[in-house]
Amino acid sequence: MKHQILIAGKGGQGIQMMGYLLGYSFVKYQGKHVVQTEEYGASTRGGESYTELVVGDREEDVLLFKVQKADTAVFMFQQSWNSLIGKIQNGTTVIYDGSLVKPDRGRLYNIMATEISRNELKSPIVANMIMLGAISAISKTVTLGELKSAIGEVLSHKWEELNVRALETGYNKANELLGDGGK
Amino acid sequence: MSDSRLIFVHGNGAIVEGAIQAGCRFYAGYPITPSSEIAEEMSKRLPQVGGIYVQGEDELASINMIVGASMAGAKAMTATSGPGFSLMQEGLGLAVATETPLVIVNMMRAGPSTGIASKAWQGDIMQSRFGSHSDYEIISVYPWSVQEAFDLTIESFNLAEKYMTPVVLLGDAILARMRERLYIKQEEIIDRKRPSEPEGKYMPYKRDQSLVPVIASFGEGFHVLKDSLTHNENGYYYENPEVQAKYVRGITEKIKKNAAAIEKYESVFTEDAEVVIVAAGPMARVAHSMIIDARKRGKKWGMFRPVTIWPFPEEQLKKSVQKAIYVIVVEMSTGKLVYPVKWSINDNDRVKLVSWLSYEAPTPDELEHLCEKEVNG
Repeated sequence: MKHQILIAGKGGQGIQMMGYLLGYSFVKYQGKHVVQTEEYGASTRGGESYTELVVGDREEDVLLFKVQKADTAVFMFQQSWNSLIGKIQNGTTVIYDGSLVKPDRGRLYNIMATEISRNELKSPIVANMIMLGAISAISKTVTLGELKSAIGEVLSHKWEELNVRALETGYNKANELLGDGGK
Repeated sequence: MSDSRLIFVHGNGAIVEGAIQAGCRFYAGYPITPSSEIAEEMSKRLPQVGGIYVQGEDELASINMIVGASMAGAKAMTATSGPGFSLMQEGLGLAVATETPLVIVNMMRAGPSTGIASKAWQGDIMQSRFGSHSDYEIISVYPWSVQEAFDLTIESFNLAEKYMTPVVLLGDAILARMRERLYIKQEEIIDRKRPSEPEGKYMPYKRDQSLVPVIASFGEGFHVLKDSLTHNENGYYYENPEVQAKYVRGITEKIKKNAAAIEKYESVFTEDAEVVIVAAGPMARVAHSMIIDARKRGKKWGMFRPVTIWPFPEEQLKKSVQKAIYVIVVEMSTGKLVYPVKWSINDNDRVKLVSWLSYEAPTPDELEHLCEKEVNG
């Protein structure tokens, strides 16, 4: 099975780290073939930033290193939505931060990650982990346990507790949404 | 428990791991996008294995440092991109002339001159072969994936040591920064030969049937002269037409006459192909994907991918295009790879060029459309 994932936002949101943790999980715990590419401007913060992952069971599945049509997409920046809409189909699962993006195509799941990060986790910087948890719950391509292991192996232990809590929060919020049939 | 030999890494990181396994213990370089992670990772990895990392003041110093380190017996490398590779041509020529094994990574970026730092291009295919002045041959390889970047880095060191030559490992900004799974396998490692004759009888530039000289490293107890001037079998400058001819034949024929053993390529669906696409590096992945789709729709298309760009696998290409009405070279430049393809095929009117002048790789559909235009005129 081939699965194409697009994650887009702006510099500073942790977009590239989301892609790396996902790719790491697919390779290390699922033995999948993965190709990940990164796109970002010269400035670190504020500019468009996105990452693409193509995942498959066979080497042939990942010949193409760019996403053609996304199966799963995450959007955290309106400008990215406007420039990358060509990769979104009606059947694409689109997980978005409703305070930042107003998407109008795909199967839409609104996770207010930036607000949840600030209000519930009392930190402005874990919206990406919330979105990762949501990816796990909605796309079912990667388990919560796999992402937790990846966080433990890749990121600083100093922030592990907060990152994992954010991951679980996103996972639970997404499951609540799925319980409502998705919105 | 996950397997520690299975990692998720970019092309630059794979080259570092390959170099360490191949026995590289000296690196000098001047960081430049999109090769900078090689310098960064080498500065961490080399001290762990007892090696030396030097950040040179520029590319000229860096290439000359690795030439010196290799003359003293170390397996040495540097990494750069187009602007730096241009500066290194003089030092590369010195390595060729003194038959000093080296690996030089050139991660190609959009140019000419400083171009666009982080975007891919395939403009240095010719420079990797003809960049330094006068008569020489080179070995140059161009991987298309992270795994192959690792494998071919080891291969590059092995070829350098076996043929006593610099090897240019080509990549591009796509390969440099794309991450894939890499399985760190244990590969066979080749080290340069040591003299079997005693000091006094030993001649460092004398060739046996292999055509490759056995050159002692400095400090091994032999008198070895390294001269960038034309030299005889003892390494001494000698102004004489026969010595010049023998010297140039020596440094070129060791590669030319061993080409069949050096060349690597991949030929996909070419047995019955009416159209053969030729592409190298990550661009060939798009071509390969396009061909898989085209085959499903009944098109008799195939692909030939040179893995060693130099020496170019001429004979293998000839075999792969026997049934082809068209041979279409697809590259991210105004046309470089198209030349060795034309040199290989006698009736080269059937060779067409699709020059993709965007630093964003094409989609398979875009590529098929352009190739279709060449076929249908």
